[in-house]
Amino acid sequence: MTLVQPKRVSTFPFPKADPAKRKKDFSEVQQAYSKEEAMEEADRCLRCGTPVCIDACPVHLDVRGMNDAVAKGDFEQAYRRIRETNPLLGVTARCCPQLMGLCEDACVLRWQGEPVAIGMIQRFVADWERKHRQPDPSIEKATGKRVAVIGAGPAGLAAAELLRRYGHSVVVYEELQYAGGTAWYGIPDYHLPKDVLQYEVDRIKEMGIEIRYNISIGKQVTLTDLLDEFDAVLIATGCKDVMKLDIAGSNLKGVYDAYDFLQDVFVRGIDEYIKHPKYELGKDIIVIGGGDSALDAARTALRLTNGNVTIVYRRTENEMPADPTIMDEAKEEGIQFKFLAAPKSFNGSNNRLVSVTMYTMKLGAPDQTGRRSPEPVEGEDFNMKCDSVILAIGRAPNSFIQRAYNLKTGKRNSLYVDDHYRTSMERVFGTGDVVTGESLVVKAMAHGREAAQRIHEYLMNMEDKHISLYEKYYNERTYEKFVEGAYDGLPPP
Amino acid sequence: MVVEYTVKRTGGPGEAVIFLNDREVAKLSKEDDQVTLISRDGERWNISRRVEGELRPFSMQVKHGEKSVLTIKDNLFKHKGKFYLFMGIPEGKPMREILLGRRFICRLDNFPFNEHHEIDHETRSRIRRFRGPAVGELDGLGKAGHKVKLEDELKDIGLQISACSYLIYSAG
Repeated sequence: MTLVQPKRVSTFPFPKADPAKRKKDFSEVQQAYSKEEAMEEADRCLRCGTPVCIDACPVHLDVRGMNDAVAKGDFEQAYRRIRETNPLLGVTARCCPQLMGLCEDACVLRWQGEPVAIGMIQRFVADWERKHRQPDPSIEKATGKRVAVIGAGPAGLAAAELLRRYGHSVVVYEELQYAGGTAWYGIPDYHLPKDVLQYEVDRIKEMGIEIRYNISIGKQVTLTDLLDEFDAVLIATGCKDVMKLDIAGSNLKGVYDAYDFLQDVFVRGIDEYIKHPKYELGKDIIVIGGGDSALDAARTALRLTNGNVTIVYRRTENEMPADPTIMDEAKEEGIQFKFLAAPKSFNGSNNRLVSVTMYTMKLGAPDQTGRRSPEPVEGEDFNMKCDSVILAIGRAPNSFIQRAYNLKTGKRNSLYVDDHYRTSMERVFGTGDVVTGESLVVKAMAHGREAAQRIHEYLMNMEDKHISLYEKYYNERTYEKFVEGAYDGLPPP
Repeated sequence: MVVEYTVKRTGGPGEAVIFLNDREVAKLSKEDDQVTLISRDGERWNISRRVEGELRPFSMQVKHGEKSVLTIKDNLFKHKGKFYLFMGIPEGKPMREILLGRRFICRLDNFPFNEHHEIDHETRSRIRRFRGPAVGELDGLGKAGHKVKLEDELKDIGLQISACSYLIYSAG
């Protein structure tokens, strides 16, 4: 494979596959460090006394310990350092936007323009471990308590893993036939190969966690059934309620939803989809939206059609929430962008989409987030011809269980939880995107782990001795212990 | 920006001296887990990572005696009725421009909450989507000298902001 050095915002070397070639298939875009590169990069770490990178990691991954071990070539120790708080290490290494408010953004070497490439080092260790299998983390003595987790996405899996390590018996209920949630069906293979996720899900299951697939709560089993069988129930059903555009022509053939599209393409594997394609995308494709899902849908459509794909966003590039490094990748592959435009109507012929009438937008007064609100410019509508439109305008929390069981809700039917992650129903807890709205895989995992900590404290009558996972890390992983080398051994919960 | 502080590490991460426009005005001293900000005229402020009873990342409380002078929680702080965001993205500035180098304190003019405890899970999770005018600029690693430039509206707590900025983001 031809590799190119990318125009990346950061300065560290970071090989990527040739855009001309990679846009024709679903092979991984970002290429791994060699052992020597990983060791060299890790050795740039200053081993800070107050490591901000760990503060910035939602799961408080021991970046300092990992980097130190990798720099010494001790990959077993590096794996233990990561695995202590992160059961989806290969997944997050690939999916986290590390420079966007996470570990690399916080790295003090960023002040000099060269943060340590933490994600790439983590990826190296995760890939190394897949070839050199290491022991599972320790599991405490069985407590006799049973917990049901609804949803096998990142939040549910991370919660299940921590609860299991505390010695509880855990069963996860998943409505699809695969675990991983958004990481399975929402992240294209060119970012996250399925075998990486599958391996890490299998490792979690091998800790003694049962996953029951193809079970929908309210159909095959009820919440009441679960409360009869388990001591606590954790709802981690994610974001699935697709937001609709209520404009003329929305029901035309050729108008698709990005989240359904990504799920249909990836859920049974890309090879299977290519054998049995479901979407008639044509050659001229418009994707509406400005987030990571819009980019994922656009780049997936490009790979499936080799067509002309344009992302239309109602604000300017400056306001786009998508990761700029991923945007660069999309541009390299030939994705076009049209800013300050928004769909006014979808126009059809014989019930099939043929064009979109667009508003020209301008930026008006700032909204609550401080970003200037887009407003249509009168008399400047224009038409864009297309064969299909993919809408990536956001997803709301999955509201099915809240509605079915009359649970208290928050914004956009999100599941309401208090500071203890308790819902309005006794013994029922909530976590992840169904509570917070759409977020990153690693943030959902962190939310899952915090909920698991609360459930553990509830089950063991320790609620008055609550300690957050951050405080636990802060107390146990001190600089003094790091310097003494007192981090050896299998990681505790 | 109207004032410029420089915080320079002198020993461990909790030890530093603070300059205002090149004149030494205070120092940071650490004993056990307690960091103290001591001005040249002997005034003292206690700085703790414990906010609202628990240790949190990107959070810090500065107290003068029993009185709280500055509370930063999850990068956010409130001053004279307005919320400000450390590591904010100035309105209209391309995100790629701020992925490396200088960082900003932004004023969140239309922030829909009045108090820290009102801020919901979703807003905390998406705080980087918020934008506002830059009223502070942060630059540099503590070992070399961490610079904190501030507009007039933050001048009265500039010493405390510069101490916290150093301790949270650049002490190393």
